[in-house]
Amino acid sequence: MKKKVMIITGSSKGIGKSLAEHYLKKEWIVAGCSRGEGSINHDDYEHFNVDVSDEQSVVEMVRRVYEKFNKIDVLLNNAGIATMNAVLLSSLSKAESIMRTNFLGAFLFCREVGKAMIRKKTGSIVNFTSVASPLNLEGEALYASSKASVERLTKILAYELGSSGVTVNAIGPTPIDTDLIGSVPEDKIHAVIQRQAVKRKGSFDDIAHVCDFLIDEKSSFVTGQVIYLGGVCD
Amino acid sequence: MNDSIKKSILSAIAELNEDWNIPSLENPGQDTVLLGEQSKIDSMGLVMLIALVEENIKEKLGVDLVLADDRAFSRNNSPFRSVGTLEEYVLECLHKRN
Repeated sequence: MKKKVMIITGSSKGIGKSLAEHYLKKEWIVAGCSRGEGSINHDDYEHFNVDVSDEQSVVEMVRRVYEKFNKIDVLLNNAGIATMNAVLLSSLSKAESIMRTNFLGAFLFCREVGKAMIRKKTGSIVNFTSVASPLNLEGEALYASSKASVERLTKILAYELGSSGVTVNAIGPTPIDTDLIGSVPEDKIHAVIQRQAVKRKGSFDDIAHVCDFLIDEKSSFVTGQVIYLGGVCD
Repeated sequence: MNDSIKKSILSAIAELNEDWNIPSLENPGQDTVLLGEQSKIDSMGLVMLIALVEENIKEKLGVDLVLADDRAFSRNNSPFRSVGTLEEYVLECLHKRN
């Protein structure tokens, strides 16, 4: 087995789909998942219909991939949903939904893939956060809180797995043109960009570049880090 | 089923002990300590052991179990404290799934 094996969550559209295609071009084997059918046709791509917050579905997917390839080299924990609303107008069901998908989904995949990685004493986990967390954006309390939880998970898991040869890091993209920000008013996007050091929307290539760096074997000494794009600082 | 569970646990210990080289784990039995003051296995070692037992159960019995769940951690006496208690706990988890 020479090809490397990756799991990407939320791979049917947006950043997840672009990353899956990016790594398929680099001759990786990619196992992706989403709540619904996949949208990638490639011999080295397998799609799983999985709700990332459903424990049994996540366990079954990860173990199937591990059984088939006897390893999982990389996990890109990309699946996420967004919402915009003032805290005082936010429903409990929306808060639960955001936390289930963005935080508990990331946690379940980290836990199950982490078990496979420590067996091989190698692996890279990359979680996805957002600049919404450090920027404390009004109207994004639920989304930003879920991403702040992902950041804390990243840092603590990095310590727990540090002696096992597994790295755990997070990428915090700025707004880029995906469905996730499709419903966000343009003036809100503009306001976020004005708070970045580099005042432009992000691109898929910006994210892929950081991802390439974090999963590179030469990055084995880089763990527990959260890298925000666009020059946003915590 | 009991035999498969026992083999899953013992083969996991044997495989991991190739790295650990802990003398008391060379010939493990029901009373072999896995967790607690007398255990020679560190916390990450226990995590690896549980992961490997889950993997072996999947291989031998075709069942995806998650052993480290709320039931395991809410007990006064951890089911991971010895080979025997772990064996009983795996059997219990399998029965609860059926």
